[in-house]
Amino acid sequence: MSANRIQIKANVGDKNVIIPLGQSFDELGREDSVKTWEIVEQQDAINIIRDYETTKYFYSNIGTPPYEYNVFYEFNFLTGNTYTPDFNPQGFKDFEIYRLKKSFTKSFFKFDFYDSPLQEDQKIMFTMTMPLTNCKKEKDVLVKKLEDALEYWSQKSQGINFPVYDIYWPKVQLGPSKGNNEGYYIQWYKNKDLYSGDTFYMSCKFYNAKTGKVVRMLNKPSWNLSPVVDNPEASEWYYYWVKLSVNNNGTPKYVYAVHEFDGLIGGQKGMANTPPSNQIRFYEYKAP
Amino acid sequence: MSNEKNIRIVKGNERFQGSQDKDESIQLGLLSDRRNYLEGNRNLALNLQDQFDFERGYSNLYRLYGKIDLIYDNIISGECTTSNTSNWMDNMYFIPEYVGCPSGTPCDAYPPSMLFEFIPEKRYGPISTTFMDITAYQDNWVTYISYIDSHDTQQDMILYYDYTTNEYLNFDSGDGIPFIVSATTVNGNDILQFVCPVDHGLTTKMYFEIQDNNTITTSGGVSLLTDVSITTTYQNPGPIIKTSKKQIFKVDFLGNGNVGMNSKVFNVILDLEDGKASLGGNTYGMGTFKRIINPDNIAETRSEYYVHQHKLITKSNEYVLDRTGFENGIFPRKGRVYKAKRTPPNAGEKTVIKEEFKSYLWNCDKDIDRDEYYDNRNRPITDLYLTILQTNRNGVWDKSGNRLCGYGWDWNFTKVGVVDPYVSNTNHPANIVQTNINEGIVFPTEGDVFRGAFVEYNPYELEERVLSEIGHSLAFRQSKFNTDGSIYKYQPHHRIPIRKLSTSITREAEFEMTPQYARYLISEGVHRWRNILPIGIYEEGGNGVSYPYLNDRHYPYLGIEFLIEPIRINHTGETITMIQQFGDVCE
Repeated sequence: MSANRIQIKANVGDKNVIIPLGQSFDELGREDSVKTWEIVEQQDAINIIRDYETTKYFYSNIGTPPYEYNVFYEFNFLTGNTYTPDFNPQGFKDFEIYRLKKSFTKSFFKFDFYDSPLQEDQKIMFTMTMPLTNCKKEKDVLVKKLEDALEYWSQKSQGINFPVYDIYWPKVQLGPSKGNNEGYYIQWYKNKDLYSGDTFYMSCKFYNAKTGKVVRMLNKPSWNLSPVVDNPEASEWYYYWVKLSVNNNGTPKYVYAVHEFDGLIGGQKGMANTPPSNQIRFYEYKAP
Repeated sequence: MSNEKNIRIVKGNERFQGSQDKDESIQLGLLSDRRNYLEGNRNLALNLQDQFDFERGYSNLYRLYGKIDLIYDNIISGECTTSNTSNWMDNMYFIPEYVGCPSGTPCDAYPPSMLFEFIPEKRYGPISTTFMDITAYQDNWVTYISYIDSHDTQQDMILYYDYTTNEYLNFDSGDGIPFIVSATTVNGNDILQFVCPVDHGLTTKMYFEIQDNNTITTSGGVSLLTDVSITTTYQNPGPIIKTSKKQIFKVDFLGNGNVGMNSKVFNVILDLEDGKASLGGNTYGMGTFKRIINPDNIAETRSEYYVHQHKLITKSNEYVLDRTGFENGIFPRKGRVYKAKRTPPNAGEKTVIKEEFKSYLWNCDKDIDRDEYYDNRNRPITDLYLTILQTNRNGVWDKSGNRLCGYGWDWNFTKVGVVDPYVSNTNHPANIVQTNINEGIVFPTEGDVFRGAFVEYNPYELEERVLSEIGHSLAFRQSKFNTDGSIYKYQPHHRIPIRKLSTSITREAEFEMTPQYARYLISEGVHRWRNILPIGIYEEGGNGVSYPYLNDRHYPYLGIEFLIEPIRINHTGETITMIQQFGDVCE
């Protein structure tokens, strides 16, 4: 008598037992790929690597001595309907400029660099400022007895009949040399990981510390002066076009050029003092 | 007959009354090409520090930067041979100060401090080409990044015994460390005293081997020591004297009684176990030796000697150099105002700065990918170098043929009142090409090779040891500035450690488990190498590196004191000669 009816017949071969193991498997290789994917995702999630290092870009101007790599600006302000490169129309008296009064030294030009000339969708990318003491000190003016009596009588006592001194006027020459280089270099990324563009649109404003006003500047005389221009497009009036480039084999390696812009890109500006049309020129905006 | 027919399987609950079913365990030898998919491995705790460490260890990109402190001694004067109206004359610091350079008298002077500066403010030399602010930072010096690409065992070298009698040793870098040997007596012991111009690297009881190659010769009266005579006297059956030659010796003691000379001097007592050693009738001689770790396994433990070969990996425009804003040198600024009557006719009043010790910030513009470079030992590079070369845009320094500088090692620049003829750019010109004296050098570029340090490498210790850094010599252009022939010396290559080799040696029998730079040691049957330490990991003794990591780049910093050193003729301020400096204790 047997305990049950199950019988296993003898077989000289191996026995096979099917065992349903509760496991799921992953093919070799996929696991490694998942690991790599995991690293990438992890980097994106908590520590995206970006190269934020900047370098200084020199103004691109091979030029002739002594103008190599120098850049020239001129700023014109309105007296009535006439533009002159002079700080007097902005309310600065000669002696205030000569004596470097705080109202003068705290004033500055501010350059904004945009990614587009179209105001409705432009973003400001960076900003540079230029102190007024970067201007040339070469405007000869008569010393006014009532404004600067000390200087007036000092020169008079030396036998000078018409006392004169040199004061700043809004003409600027910047270069890579030691000294006047604030506002000369553009500090921008070395490579294009963060921002692929290499062109910007530069506008200018004058911050007047004496009046507290901000004066908008144009790239050419205002449209509501003679000759009057109808329906001005803002993009044509406010900007110069700035192009950054890398000169892999030359010195300096990183350079920028400034071109005139009125909807179309024009010739390079700022390369020389003369003729005056070579300067980067800005004009005070006249309210309609 | 088999008993398999009698096998029965009985369910648990049918075995006996009250029994229950139970799980059986079966040992299965599973052979699978699949891996368990464990859910737990999919969970990951994000950790910024761990992520930073991971990325830091993974990155191989380097941005190098640092500071150069300029130190020099503007002490070589001369007579200006340019006209009174020349630019060179206008910038000179006239001596005597109270006389200046009045009309009708010769103008003796020191050059201005601009001669040494990294960013001179104008053209100051005999060359009148246009000065440009933008390129001024390369008027005197140009910098590159380099690494050790290979080495040279056949670099010819000369060590002078006496400049007056013109006695010297001529050898190749692969011949080992040069020495001057003399027979003398210390504490009643007759000894051979070996004096080296560089650190010998030996300790007491360590072995060394005197070399005998046809590349080693002497000139003048000094004898060449290629081996030592050993005289042995046998008393039985009668006094028989036998003489033999010996090249391998054990160091008995170090130094010659003077402070700091243990690293330069080692001694062997002449009474050896196998006889009495002698110099064969000479009182002194010269030669070279190699260090040996194990005299029973010379082939695998004898040091090799060579000169590094640096390859440039940047171009001349791939760096930025700026003045430091608010740093003054450690020595005071020295200058003078010359009134018009103290200057050449029509020159007018002038101010000349003779010495001013400025500092400069340098910044390599190129990202260096460490993965692309392997050193002379086939190891991933562990050091980069800031290479600084003279450019001579002011035409002050003399070129010979088309080469500007000479080169030499420490013993060629010793201050003994003589300029070693070895270092002139006529005899041993560095690889700095200047074809036109009025135009400065032709800037070297990526891939150019320059000599470097004189180095010992021991294959058993798996370690290099710098014996002497290379120096470049600068001689004044005598047709414009007539001096006594004194020169200046500067060190062109400055090490920037980016990784460190471990102080311990790793061993592995299986080839597959070793890095490509492992060395197989036949006597022990293993591959051996020194691991490269991860960044931020330090071994005992401070061995390791750590530097900022951001922008997915490493930022190692190198601050150097760039020393421009005068080597003066007849300079008696430091009264040392080769013999006195390295002499024995009896003198």
